[in-house]
Amino acid sequence: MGRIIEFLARTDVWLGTIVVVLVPVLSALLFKKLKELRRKTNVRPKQHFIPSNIVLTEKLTSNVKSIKAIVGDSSDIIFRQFKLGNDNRSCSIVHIDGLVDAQQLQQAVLHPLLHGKQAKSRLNLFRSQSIKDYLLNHTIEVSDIKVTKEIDKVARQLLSGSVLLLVDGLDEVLILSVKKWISRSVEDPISEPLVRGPRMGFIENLRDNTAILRRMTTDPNLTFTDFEVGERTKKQLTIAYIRDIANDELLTEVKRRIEDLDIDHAAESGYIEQLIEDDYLSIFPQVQSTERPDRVMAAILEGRVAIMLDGTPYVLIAPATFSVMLQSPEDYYERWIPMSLIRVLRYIAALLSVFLPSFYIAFVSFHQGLIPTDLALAIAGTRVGVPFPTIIEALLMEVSIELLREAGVRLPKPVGQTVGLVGALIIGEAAVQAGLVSPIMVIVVSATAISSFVSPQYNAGIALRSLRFLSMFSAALLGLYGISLFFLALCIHAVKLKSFGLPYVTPGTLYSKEDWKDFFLRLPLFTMRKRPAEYYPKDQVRRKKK
Amino acid sequence: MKLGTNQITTTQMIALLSSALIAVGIFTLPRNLALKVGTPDLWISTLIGGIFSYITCLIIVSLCLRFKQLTFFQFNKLIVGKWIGTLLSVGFIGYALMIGSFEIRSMGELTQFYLLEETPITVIVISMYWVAIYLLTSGINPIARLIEMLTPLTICIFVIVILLGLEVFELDNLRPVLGLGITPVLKGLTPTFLTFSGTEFLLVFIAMMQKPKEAKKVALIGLAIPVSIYILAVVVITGGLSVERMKHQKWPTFALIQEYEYRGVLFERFESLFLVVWLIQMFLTYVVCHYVAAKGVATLTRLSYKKASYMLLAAVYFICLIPSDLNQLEKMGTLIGWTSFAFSFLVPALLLLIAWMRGLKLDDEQRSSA
Repeated sequence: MGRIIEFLARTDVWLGTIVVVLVPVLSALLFKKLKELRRKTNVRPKQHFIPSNIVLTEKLTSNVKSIKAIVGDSSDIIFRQFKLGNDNRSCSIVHIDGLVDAQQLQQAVLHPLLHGKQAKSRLNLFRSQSIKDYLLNHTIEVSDIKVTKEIDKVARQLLSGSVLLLVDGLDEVLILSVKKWISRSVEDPISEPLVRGPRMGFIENLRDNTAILRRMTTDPNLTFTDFEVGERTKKQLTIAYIRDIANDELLTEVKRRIEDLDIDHAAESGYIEQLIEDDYLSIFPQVQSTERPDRVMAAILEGRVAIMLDGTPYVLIAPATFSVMLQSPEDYYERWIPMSLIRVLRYIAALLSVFLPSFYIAFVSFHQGLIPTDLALAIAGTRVGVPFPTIIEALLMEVSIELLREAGVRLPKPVGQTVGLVGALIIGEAAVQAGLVSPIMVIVVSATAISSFVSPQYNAGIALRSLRFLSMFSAALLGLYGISLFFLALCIHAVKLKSFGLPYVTPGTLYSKEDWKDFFLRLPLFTMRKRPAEYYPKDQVRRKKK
Repeated sequence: MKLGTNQITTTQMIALLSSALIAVGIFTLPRNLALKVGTPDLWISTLIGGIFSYITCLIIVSLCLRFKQLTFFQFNKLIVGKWIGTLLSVGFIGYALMIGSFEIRSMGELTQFYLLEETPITVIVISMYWVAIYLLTSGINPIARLIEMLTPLTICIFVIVILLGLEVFELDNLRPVLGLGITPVLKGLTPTFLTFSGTEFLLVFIAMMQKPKEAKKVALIGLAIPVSIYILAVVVITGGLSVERMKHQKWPTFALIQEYEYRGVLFERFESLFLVVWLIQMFLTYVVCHYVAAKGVATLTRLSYKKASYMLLAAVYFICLIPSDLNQLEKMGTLIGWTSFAFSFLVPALLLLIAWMRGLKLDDEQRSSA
């Protein structure tokens, strides 16, 4: 009895109790607040970038004036007035210099208009309907023509490169598509090179990208759905999916998130990725991004959805799981035995890139007895004269490696090589000789750096590299126990995370025979009879024969 | 998508049950058995204990299937009335908290002994609780996923580490079989009950299963895995150390691992490394206990599940500091063993009997009409 009272009187117990509850509660509150920040909606006044009070009339001069009022007097906008054929009717062509194929414009539009013979087509000059009819059906030699009255659509089309044809007496505008602008040729994607596989990457032009996808299949179910994103810039965004494979729930979720996003300019698909992802506080990328068309095709054939934005070669694929981040298209192009081994290697590399330095720290500063005695002695020998504790030593090296990497990325190529050379000299030789770090530390750090570059997805690699620092701190505080806790916390975070409703650790937890065929190993293609069940595809069978 | 439900799949359930059963027992069972039995027939006790646990599981399953989608905290009121029901629930919550704190405290003691000699145990324990609460607040699905993901890993490593002990295995240590008759074997049943405490959590989890009809399969596989692991451990440890030495070791499992030595491998001492992995298993067991307790509190009171789990954190921390040394911790273990016997066998059996006599059954049709 006395012992119990004594126990109850201990202040450290009570203090500990308060700490153990208060810290999680407070941090939970903080994270709740942070999450609400994102959901908070700003009510902003509706912006009108195009005055809506302007309407098109039958008078050419006033129409041209309204268009001028909308687009201002930019120097690259060309207004060309002329008379229609033999007739005296005034016409005007408006387009943006540089976005239009001048030769085609001249041949297919201007020439027939200027030399048209109206008499043949029984043109009734007093009816606007018949002028339109004449222009559309007899004169203009362009396949993509739209006719509209809406002034904001007209302005948007003009600014995206279409040619406007205004005719006196017609209160509508003919929008002719003779777009042509400079674009890069299709090249081998730099960020995802393969030894074997198509040498083709996406480019900045959305239409070309959809065409690349269309070229890969004649499946009528391949569907592109268009959206406009950016309140001000109105960029075109297209989602690509296979209609009879992609799960409906997934599709509606993707569409809903895209329609909900609110930004005035989306410069790159990275903007879209960050605006539609599930958890902005997570370190893991929750949407896959790629510039390889074959990868996108394979993904949408599995029942996933691709999101393509105009102006960037990077296409997003949702949903994404952790295992996807460690897959490369090449896994499927080469034979299964070596590629399975390589995939296992990637998992090991991912583990090493997070945990290797922290294991070194834990072993050297806490558990010297765990490693073989000879090795322990060797490490102790090399650490003689090193003035810092292991964590500082490791941090020094890790930070300098990261600095070198970042410098190498940012600098022009010839200078970048110099940086590599200087870095190797400083880190490899000088630091050791100066007694700042031990040689084994150098080995550990470089092995870690190399394994962090193995990841086939750049953004997954960055995530793992940043996790490494957290892991190092927990090892410095609590040794192997700290690493164990960190591993648990990491697993918990991954387990809680979802990407478009799909748990991030799938198929690690979804014990489905089908999905494990393509997880740690890549089994022969003939065994993968069904599409991965994790995406709930509508059409599950990939191969009919057993 | 379809995974957004609050229900758990059959494989998750199997992993949940097995990880609730295997934890710290792997360290305590061999010694306790050796003390009670005294002959090399330890594995027979374990086997009988396992079979008995299976019977209790069947009782629990048939009781739960009578009240579909109701947890123990909800249906006990229907059977024995509000007051006794609440009493039972409170007892069950206290019991779950006790197991949870027992696991964490043992984990802390082991960690301090083998890994972090100078770190105070409170630091070890508190950091573990913080990691746990990060998981606990998000509900049953992430818990089930984590357990499903990590249990196979820990079990594999455990089996490897134990099988490495075959180097020092001597069959003579296991002989004679039943040399002193059946009585020593029966004496060994009490420590086995403690080890197999955890089956009673089925009382809560069956209600959350996607396919409750497969509960019997879950009970069979979910028990078979831990029982075979315990038998393997007991056999190899007895063979490697002999019963006499097992009695004198604080943790015979570690003694076995220290016994063998593989030179030239990356690590020379496996016991600390093994402990690091086994920490995860003890963590998982604790999480299951805490979840059950928090669920119970949330059912009994008006608190939300999240608030309940935060509050119980204080309780678990408090309880885990009560035993002042290892001897008291052992006594706490024995106490848990007897309570476990009550909750996994006596209470469900009585409840089933009463429910059967009163003809109580809650079907889907009745639910919809009510």
